[in-house]
Amino acid sequence: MKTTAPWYIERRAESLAIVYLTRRDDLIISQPTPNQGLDFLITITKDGVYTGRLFGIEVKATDSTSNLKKHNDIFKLDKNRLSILLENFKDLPFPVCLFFFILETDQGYYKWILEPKIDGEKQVKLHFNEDDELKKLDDKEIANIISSINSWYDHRNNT
Amino acid sequence: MRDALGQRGEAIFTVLMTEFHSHAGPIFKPQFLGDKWQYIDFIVELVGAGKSVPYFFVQVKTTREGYTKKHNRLKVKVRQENVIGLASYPAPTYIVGIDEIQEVGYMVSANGESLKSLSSLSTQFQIIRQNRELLWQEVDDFWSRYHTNQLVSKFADQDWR
Repeated sequence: MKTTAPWYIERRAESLAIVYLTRRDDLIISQPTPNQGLDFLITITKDGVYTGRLFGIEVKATDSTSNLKKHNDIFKLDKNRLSILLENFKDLPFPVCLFFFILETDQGYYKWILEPKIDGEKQVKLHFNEDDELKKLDDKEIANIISSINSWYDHRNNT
Repeated sequence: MRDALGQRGEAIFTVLMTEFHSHAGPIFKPQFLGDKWQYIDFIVELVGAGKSVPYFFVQVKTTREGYTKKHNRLKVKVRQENVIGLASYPAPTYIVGIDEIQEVGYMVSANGESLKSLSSLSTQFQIIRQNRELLWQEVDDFWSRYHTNQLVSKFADQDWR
């Protein structure tokens, strides 16, 4: 039987994503029309100046950990549901992350969907990541995410 | 486009108001009204009030200026015009101050107050579980005095009975 998620799951999760992301002052957060693809389009600014460096965030949440698979302190998403979600973003031309929140604790987790990669010959690519493991999300990890994206754009502009 | 500080304050407000009170979830349902409303940022509905849906209005002010040294009040400015505008609605109305650095919020009533501008906001009523429950009861009590279905309208559809 198909069940509908309660109204507060999406609203609270999106607000949490904004709270996490706006702890930095170099991100401009845009919300496209609801149900039209990604939940957030983020622009990275440099010294307050618009750079055109875009990345996407898709937000999902659950109200408690009992809805998640957990192996050795690592949360995993349902692979079947995940693959349907991931396919929607496969062809996007910029990095995309999944943010996942457990609403009973407000703790955030993340995984890359399209991960920015620079290979040995300094060629840039976006790795379509089908891994189902979630990493803990905090200010340091968000800094790492932004740093990876900036580095990817730096190399892309130099090739 | 909303400025980043305002966007952050609205998100913090939503997170504070939708904190879970039980397995049934939050007791408030806030809806951002967009930038075009002059005095109101949110309409907030009470969850679980029965057949009716009581609500209140909120204006959110966000600051990174911190607190006054003397009385530990949050440094937010609200112009007199905004206080009067907010208080003119025939419904419970509140001003919420958000300290965006600490990610906490404080609420004060804009009903029946002395209609002056504010240069700082009381931190007596932090948005925490206990005050959310008091607020829920206050708004529910306000609306329970009205029998909202008793309007005799000129626009009644006679076949819709």
